[in-house]
Amino acid sequence: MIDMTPTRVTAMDSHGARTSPTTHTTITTQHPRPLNREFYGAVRSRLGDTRERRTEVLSDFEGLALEISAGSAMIVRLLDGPQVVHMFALNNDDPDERYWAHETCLIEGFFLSRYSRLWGTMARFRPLLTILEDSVSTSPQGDSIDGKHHPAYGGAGTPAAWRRSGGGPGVLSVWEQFAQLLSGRGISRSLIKDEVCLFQKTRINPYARRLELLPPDCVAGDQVALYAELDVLVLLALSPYIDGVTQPSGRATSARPVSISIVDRIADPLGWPYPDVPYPDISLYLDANGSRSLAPGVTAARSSAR
Amino acid sequence: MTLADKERGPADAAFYTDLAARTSQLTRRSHHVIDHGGFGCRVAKGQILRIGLLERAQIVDLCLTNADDPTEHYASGTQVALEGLNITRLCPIWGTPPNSRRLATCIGDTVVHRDNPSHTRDHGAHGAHCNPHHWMLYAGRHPDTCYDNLRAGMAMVGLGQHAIHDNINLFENCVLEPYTGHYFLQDSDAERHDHVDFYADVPLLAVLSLCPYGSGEAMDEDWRVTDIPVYPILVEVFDPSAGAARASSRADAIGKPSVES
Repeated sequence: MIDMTPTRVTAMDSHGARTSPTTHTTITTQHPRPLNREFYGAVRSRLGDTRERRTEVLSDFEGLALEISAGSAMIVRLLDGPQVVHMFALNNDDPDERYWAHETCLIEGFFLSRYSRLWGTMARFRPLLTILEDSVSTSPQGDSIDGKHHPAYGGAGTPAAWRRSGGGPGVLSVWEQFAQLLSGRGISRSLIKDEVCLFQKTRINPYARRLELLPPDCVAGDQVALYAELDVLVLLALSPYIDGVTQPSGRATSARPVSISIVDRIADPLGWPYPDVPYPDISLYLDANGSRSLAPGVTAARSSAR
Repeated sequence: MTLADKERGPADAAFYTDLAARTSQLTRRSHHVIDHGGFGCRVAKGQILRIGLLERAQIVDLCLTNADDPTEHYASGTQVALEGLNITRLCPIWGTPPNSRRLATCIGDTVVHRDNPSHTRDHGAHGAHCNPHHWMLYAGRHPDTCYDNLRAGMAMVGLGQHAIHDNINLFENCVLEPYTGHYFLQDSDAERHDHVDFYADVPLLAVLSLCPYGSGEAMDEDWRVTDIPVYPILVEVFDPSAGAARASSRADAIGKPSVES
């Protein structure tokens, strides 16, 4: 069954109570993109029975790049307690198509969890990965606004942020880890955009209008499993802030190890768009090779424009 | 004098505040009325970019790019992490790594922000831009979306669609809902003649789109049946290094302005 019901966001007051729609206009930009829950439920149920074909342990700040075939899955598992794992993904055949954090946030919400899809950039704008499993359980914060895990983006993984917080030169920031991984494959580091922060706990403070990092609730053994919607290159980098809130002390920083397993192909992806989902003419943006055209120009006139 | 390479501090605030107070009296290098689509222009280091509303609120998607190296541009995620979810007065505008430096500074914002139960505020630092996929889903048509407008604006400064990046959303009254993490927006607090000023700490290419959302009042579900008006804006570039105010010039604007007042 395909859930075609658009989700409507309703404004809430500071205590979480719904406010009257007559007091002000609320407009959601959450997109009514259907999700075939039956399909993903079946894929998830098969996950435990599928052989882990390859497992790597990541325990330093050098990062890891993995190619994952369409229909396979990747399981990121904490081995020794909370460790934030930054993740970026690119189409393995066309790296210009890559994770689009801010549009993912608009569609799925800022906090990612089971069945959240990680959307790629224009022109195809389709899911690259779908979260099948998320074992992290969030502890309530009493009367205050709860934080949640796995924000669609973080923004603090830059070399400048690391230096500003007192981090030493011997440790690579998340951005530097990603840049190193891409340069090793001959891919421009300018393709790096905002990345998912797995296992990071973040609170949205509506009063200060800021994001606040909190100690995460995850424990050793917690895992997130992601299903590849197409052939993707996944970049993983351990945060030098470890659990997201540990500030550098000037001493040597050690990461908590994380295992990354690739499982055998589980099922053929459904592809995007689903039948009957309206989709624009993306040839307006592509060159003869099917990649986004490089030349400056305007989008050609189209029949549906008005 | 510019402050791009200096650390933030009280002296910065004094510098920018003084400049903000004098902006309207400075020499206006260029001015363009934009009533639809996209636009792009160069803003030299030390100049001030002003984006103002001529009739009423209009969402403006703004990309800011280093004119000397377009791979360095506004960094939305960094901006949110360092400065919060909205652009406010005296807010630095941060660029991408590895430099991660101040590209510009918001030195003026005349919008009177009203507290509300949803904690929304104008000038979202995040949220990227609408695109044909979004409009086809909701409206079943493909108008000039922000992606298309930004593409056209990039072409005006000699760049292609690859240079489009996650942008600032001026006059968009928005928030990330704290419990669900969902993004929503409501009517802007901005009114006619409100404006936002950016000081260029590095040479900039400013590329913008008049969002087909218009003022943001029309609900997504109504796009299919509603003609959404787009309201004109005034884009001005002021030059503190020039002498007394002179007649405007558009010599440093690249490409074709929509209308010049």
